[in-house]
Amino acid sequence: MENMIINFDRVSKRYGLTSALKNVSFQIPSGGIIGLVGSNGSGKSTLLKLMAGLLKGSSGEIVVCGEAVNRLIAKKVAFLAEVDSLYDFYTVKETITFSTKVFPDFDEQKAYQIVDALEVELHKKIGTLSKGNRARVKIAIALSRNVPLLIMDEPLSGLDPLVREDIIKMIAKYVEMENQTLIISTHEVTEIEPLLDHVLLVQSGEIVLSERVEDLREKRGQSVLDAMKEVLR
Amino acid sequence: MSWLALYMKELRQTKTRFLINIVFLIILGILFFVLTERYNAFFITLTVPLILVHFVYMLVAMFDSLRLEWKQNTAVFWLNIPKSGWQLITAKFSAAMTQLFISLSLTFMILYILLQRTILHFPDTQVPLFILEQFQSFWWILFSGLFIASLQTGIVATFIYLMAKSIRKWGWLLGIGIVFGSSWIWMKFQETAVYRAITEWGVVLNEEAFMNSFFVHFDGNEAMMDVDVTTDAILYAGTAVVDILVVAGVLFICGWLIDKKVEA
Repeated sequence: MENMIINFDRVSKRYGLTSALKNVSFQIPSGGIIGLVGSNGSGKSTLLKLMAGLLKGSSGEIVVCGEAVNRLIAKKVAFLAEVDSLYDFYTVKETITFSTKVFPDFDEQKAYQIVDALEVELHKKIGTLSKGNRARVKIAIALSRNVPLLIMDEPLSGLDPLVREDIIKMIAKYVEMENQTLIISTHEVTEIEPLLDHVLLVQSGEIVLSERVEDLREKRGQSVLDAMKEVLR
Repeated sequence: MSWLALYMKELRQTKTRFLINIVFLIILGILFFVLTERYNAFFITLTVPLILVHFVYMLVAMFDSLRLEWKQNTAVFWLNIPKSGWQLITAKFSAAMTQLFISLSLTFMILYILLQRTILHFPDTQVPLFILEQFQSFWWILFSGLFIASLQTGIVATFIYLMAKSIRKWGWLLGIGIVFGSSWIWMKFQETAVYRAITEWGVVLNEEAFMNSFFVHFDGNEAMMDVDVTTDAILYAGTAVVDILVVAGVLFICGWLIDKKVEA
């Protein structure tokens, strides 16, 4: 049996009377890039935050990297939020220094290498950077963590095509496929499809498809987008 | 190392609010100085609310510090730091405590300078001199009392805020309920022999020393001399230690809430 990095067992999540996830069960094998695909409001962010221990399930059991999830799973999971979540009073350089101090798994050299490649000014404050550069720095910080599981919530959302291209290149170059699993959520699958090893399709708080991308192509002769269209029809 | 980085981050994050606080204090100090020098020495009484407002300093500081994390969306980053909730929350609490210490010290300095200056403006200097001497003798008791009381309000704010982030919608109300309930239990506990046993050690001030400070000043005042003075303690170091331990205990609970219950 494949080594599973994530195991959801009958997990539900409610916000008051609203049900965001309904009795969801699935497993994700370790290694590679997993796409979590679904329309806005389908429950993608809830799923990712549950994996990162940033939300608590209303019922069910979540095991990540062999541990029942709580916030301290942060030792093994790096979470990148859709929103700007870095401290805007720090400069880029200070953000890297701060990250080096608080994340024991942080690769400072790698962070400088990525930021340098992206030509982001080190001495500019995060708050004064363009939206695209804030996104680049945020992803550089996440990618510099040597953890088994990287979670990225809509890293391409609201960014112009150049920045999106940069980010996709960064992901392809810096995720260590041998040791790391990346889960990336998006509602625009076409751009990241070439990177994906596995796809999870979420609809109205339920997993409606969980399949290896290779199997989709070879057995069904479908792209991820085709499979999405078929399932959602 | 990482705790220090978190602590420095907290100081940096709340720098603007703290600078406004200090500038505001200095402006008020200058204003009170001008008022007492030019108009009336009784304007010195305006420093009393300035000191007392520090009672809620930690409450405001902790509430604001936590609110900032969620308001600026940095809570997801903060909560993804793989350090214990205890470390995360004590870094915040210590930063606020440092600011309280500086702000309260500055306020006491302003009061002391004003007290020294205004003595000259009173027609009868006996009472103002007495107040100045009492302040010189007992300022540290007032300082530590206010400091600890402020820590207590700070931990209440922290607990209620984290409860609000742990249980959606009604967590804050449950938090307030728990605070009231546990305060009532604590008050009842204070009446017991066990509480006395754990707090009544390390006499800081006794009745005799306190009353002597009156006698020395009002020497020859027969009415005062007739007061029956005992050597009973008025203040114990043990009470302060227990109060601080309770704050540390609730901080520990807050750390647990961050690790197990709080949602980003």
